[in-house]
Amino acid sequence: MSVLQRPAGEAVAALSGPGREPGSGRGRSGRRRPRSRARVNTQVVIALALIAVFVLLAVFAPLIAPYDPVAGDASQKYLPVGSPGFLLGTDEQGRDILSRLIWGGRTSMLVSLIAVVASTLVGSALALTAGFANDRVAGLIMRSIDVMFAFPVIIAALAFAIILGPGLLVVVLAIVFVATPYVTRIVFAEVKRHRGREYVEAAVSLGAGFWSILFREVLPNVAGHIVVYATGLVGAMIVFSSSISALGIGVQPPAADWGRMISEGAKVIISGNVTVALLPGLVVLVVALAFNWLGDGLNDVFDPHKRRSRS
Amino acid sequence: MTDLDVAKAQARAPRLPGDRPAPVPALEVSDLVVEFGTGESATRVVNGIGFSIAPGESFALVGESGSGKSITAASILGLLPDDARIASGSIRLGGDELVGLGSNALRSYRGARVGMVFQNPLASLDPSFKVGNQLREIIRIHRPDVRRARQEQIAREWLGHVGIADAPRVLAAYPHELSGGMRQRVMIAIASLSQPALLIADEPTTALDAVIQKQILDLLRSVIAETGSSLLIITHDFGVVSYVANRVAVMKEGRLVEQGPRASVLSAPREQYTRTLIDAVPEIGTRFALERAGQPRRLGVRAGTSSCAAPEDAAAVAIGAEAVSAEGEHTASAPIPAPPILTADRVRKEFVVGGIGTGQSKRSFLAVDEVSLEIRRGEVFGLIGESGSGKSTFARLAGGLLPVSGGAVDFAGAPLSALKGRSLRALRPRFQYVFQDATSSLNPRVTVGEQIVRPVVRFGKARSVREGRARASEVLDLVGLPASYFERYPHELSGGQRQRIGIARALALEPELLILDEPTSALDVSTQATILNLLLDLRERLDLTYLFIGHNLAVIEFVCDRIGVLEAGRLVDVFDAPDLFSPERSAVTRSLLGAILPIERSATTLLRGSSADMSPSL
Repeated sequence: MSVLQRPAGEAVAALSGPGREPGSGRGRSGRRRPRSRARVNTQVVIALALIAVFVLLAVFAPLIAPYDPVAGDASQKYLPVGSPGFLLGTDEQGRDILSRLIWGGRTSMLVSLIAVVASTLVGSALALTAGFANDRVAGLIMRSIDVMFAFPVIIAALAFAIILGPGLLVVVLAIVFVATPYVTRIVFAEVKRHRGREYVEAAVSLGAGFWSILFREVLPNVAGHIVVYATGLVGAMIVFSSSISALGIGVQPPAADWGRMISEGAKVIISGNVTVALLPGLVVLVVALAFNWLGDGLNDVFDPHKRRSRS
Repeated sequence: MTDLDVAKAQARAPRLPGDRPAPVPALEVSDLVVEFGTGESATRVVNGIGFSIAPGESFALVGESGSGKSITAASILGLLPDDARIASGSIRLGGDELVGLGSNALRSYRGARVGMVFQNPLASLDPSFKVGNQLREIIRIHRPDVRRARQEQIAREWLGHVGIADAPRVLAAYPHELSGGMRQRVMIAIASLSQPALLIADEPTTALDAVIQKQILDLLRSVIAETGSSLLIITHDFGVVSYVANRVAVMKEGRLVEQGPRASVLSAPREQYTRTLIDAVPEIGTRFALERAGQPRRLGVRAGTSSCAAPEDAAAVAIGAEAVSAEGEHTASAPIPAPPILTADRVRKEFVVGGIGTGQSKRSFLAVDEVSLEIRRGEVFGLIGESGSGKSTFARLAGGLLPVSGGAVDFAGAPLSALKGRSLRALRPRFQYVFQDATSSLNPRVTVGEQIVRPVVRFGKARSVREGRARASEVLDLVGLPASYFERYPHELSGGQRQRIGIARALALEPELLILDEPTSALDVSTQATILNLLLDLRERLDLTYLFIGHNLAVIEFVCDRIGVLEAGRLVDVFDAPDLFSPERSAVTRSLLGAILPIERSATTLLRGSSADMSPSL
């Protein structure tokens, strides 16, 4: 129903000579714009507010956290939510869950954000290169990506740990190792799609060079996809980082980390202490949701179809 | 055929009890109002239109994009987009009111009593199922009583009805394996195999080239004659109207401007709007009629002048136009041939398809086969051919967008096809390319101003961005757009405005040669007229040379000085525009000429026109 998207009425009166056509894109399609724009804004604002709260809590953890996150009191273990002095209760070692959540945000968010940003940059660069290089280079890059997909990540992580020693860097590298192939494939598909578009051919005809086409023509068109995908990865990677830590090569106990809190809490669910795992799970859920909303909203911001015309 | 006969009888059987009931119209639309959105922000896209189609009648709804004609068609079957609704009015199909019916009730009408043929059959056929499966599915829905073997047989029969000789191959094929014309034939089979009382065809031939268009229209005519269906055809092309419709309604901004029998609307339109639309269509011979009248070669200018030129002109086409070619002899007096600006010498282009990883064996085909031609400075050279003839490939070779497989392309003495990288890029501002689809050739995420300025700055035609902006507003002015459009994004412009941007972007580099790859084929007739007029203006003002690619012979003949005809990659004919009717023309040229659907303006042409075998069984 392409009719719907086209503004009404090319000028018929001005048939002879270079007439001016009335009508503009702000006619029918502009009608729904204010509403969707308001929705985009609130979505981004809520997402940013949520993320800001968690970041601030993490940054000012030493000031805010009521207790030491690693020091537990065995006599106070498994206190329920709302216990006097322990707002969110305590875990199996009697450590204050609220304090651990506040401190845990430091490692969890830092690690996953750095890792996701790194894998997005690496993956996008690989994809853009592969999308515009000749078949041989593209084949080399994409087949290497296939190998990374097939390679067991645990073994890669262990290798990193052997070389670098256990720690946060191992977690970051493991995430990059896992996420980069996904990012590359998604972005590669998009780049391929855009490469065949006529506007790229038009740019060639207008004398644009390789890098200009890559970064000034195609990148703006795939940036939205990249952002949406990358922000969607954040939540998943927080959880994934815990499995690396659970191997003993990532975050070292007793340090607090959301992923570790979930995996350790999961062991005591069977004894009826649900909140130990549930609370960090909820926090990860909220943070992941916030990043997803942020990505959706940013995608709309990138898209001129949803932007208000400046003229 | 027995199925058909039964259906025919059913279709014509009176539905109302009584001795001799008045014939119930196949479709009656009255006071129809369709709105987008609700409440105060609602926009009326169809505003109180009414028409009725008698059984067996062919009715054309004509209008430009945005006039509401497709929305009208969609509202009949309840296929409106989610945010649109019928605000008031009535749609009666054979006496049954359709407005207000739920989607389940409407579904019993879709396909069974109303068949629909869409503009783009590739989009309306399911890409994941074989044609045979899709046909059998439809047969199963409409004829649940027939057995599987019989379904297969009916499917074959219907492919035969729509002129597909090789039914087994087509049944076993996926939609993408068929040509555009074949797909549209399959669509027509699907839409009409239940012998619906009404067939709605929404721009059924707009995506097809002229020769196939005529075949499909012939097919539609024969199918409705066979099944006794009425036809509602939505189009913007008055040639199509002339060819298939008994009655016409012209739509503008949601209202019916006028309606009536085809002959009276086309030959003596009451409304200026209708006349403007008709005059915007280029026809063979128009340019010579204008020349005779001492008028500049522009479309639509005839409207205000001697009206006798038009019928004369149309008659000339019908007769075979000895008059025109005689006229042409003394007008085509190019004194000394100008030096060539673009020379193609035995140019070949081979595409390799298949190979490792594609699941197909590797093979190659020749898209352009030893084409040699010269384009002289200052002329408009037209290159025409059916789709798949290699004309766009040749344009890309000439524009340095594809490497040649053999032969050579020279631009103003420089060996264009041998250049690469920097030296090729340095030559690029001197020849520019205007793409067929302005929408996809503009970057959707970059403002149009920026898209004009970038190459200007890149080639040092402006030393600063400020200077580039000045240049941009200059060329925007050249193509008739205000400088305020600088900040807009492509989607904020109409189709015609986008094509103007495409032209402005090319002109900003001050090229000597413009390669125009079907620059108007995606546009409305009136927009096409403005763009063609603009191109003719610009050529005079800026001393340009054009290579004009097209599939519409009438457009090519109107715009071009010399014409080359491509068939299957070979250049089969090159001639001066006035020699179009000369007897030495190749068979391909003649078939292109035969595919033109002239607008029947006068009673005489109506009588001798193609209406003799038309279906009106009224």
